[in-house]
Amino acid sequence: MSKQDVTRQIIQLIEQKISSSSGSSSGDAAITADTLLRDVWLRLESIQVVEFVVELETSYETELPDELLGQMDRSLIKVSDLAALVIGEAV
Amino acid sequence: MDISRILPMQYPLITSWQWQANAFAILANYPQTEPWIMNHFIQLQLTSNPGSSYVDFYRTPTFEFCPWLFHQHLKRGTVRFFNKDICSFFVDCINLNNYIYGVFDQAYFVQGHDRLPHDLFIYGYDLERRVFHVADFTFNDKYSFAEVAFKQLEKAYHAIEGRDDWLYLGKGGLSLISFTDSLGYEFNIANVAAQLEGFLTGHNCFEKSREMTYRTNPCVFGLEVYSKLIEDVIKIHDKQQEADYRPFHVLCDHKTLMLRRIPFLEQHGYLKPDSGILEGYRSIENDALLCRNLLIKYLMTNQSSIIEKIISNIEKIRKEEEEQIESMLSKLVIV
Repeated sequence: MSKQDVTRQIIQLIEQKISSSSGSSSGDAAITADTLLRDVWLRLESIQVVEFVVELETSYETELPDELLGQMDRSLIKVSDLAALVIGEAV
Repeated sequence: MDISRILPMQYPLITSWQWQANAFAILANYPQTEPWIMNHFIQLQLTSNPGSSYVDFYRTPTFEFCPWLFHQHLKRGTVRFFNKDICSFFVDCINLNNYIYGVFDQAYFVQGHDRLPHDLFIYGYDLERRVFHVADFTFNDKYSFAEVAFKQLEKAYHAIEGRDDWLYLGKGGLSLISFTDSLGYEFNIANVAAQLEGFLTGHNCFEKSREMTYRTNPCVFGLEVYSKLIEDVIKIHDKQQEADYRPFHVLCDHKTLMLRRIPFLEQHGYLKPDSGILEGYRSIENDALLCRNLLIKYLMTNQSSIIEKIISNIEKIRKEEEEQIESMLSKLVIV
């Protein structure tokens, strides 16, 4: 599966999560490949963040770095970088 | 009488426990309370209860000892004697600037429960829509604000009796809390130093005022909390104890407050600036958050390898926090 395909699927999953989050609003910016994960995390409940990581690991049979579950305030990881991690590419 | 009234309420900085979150939600409206907050919530306490550990700041509940809060505690029998209609009583309390805190059977307004005695915080009303404004963790699994209809709240209040009224470790009753600036507070850096030293040694420097607190099961303090949490995580792995991420949420809140305390101390000349302690605590905060989220991940996946990661992170927090507090103590300016 290409990085673009995985990026698309990840964006879809994020959008589903955000729409079920109590903090979501229709005025929020759209999620793209260049969206920083820290901005995505801000729009999710903390349990949703963990669920999201576990769902990716299960769906793609991979292990993602623990740093995704830590403090992302200053992280520069983007959605496209996450797709690269999922398919085992170096970021 | 006002048709609606909402008392000042902000989303709190810390949300581990209802009693802390509610107090912070009030205090956040009054910047003058900052020195008191920065002078407290330094020591951590872990109480070994049967089958689980309860971690909280020492000491709790905040309503009872915060000089900025006027706390009136009423027995349910007293409330009943003076007021037959509980909703009118709550409206009157709010009109007198009192927030209301008590146990209610939230099964009357939270879906999916037959019975849910839980503490609730009431901070406003709307007579036209017949709703109270309330705060609790039960509405969407995190501390949040919601509205509850008068009728439901009335039923939820009257459904609580006997041992279900567990407020203040079984004392029960209703708390009325209002903001007061009549006492004020003077920051005490020597007291901060004593608490930090107590955190390192595991000694509770408030032990001498123990008569002011409740009877508890065996407790540990400060760095000793981490050793006990490691024991708990091993028990969770061995299925001898239920997994509970809340103690780690308290650790996150503790680090959040330390990250706020360090610039406060620097800005007020109590800590030599640019000490590097802030950066050190950012790393500790990250590890605390990681511990909490890894435990949630363990609850979802049951992967044994996660337990090892949590233990190694707790050990890292313990080591780094010991270093940072020692460094802070050596750089405090005590006048």
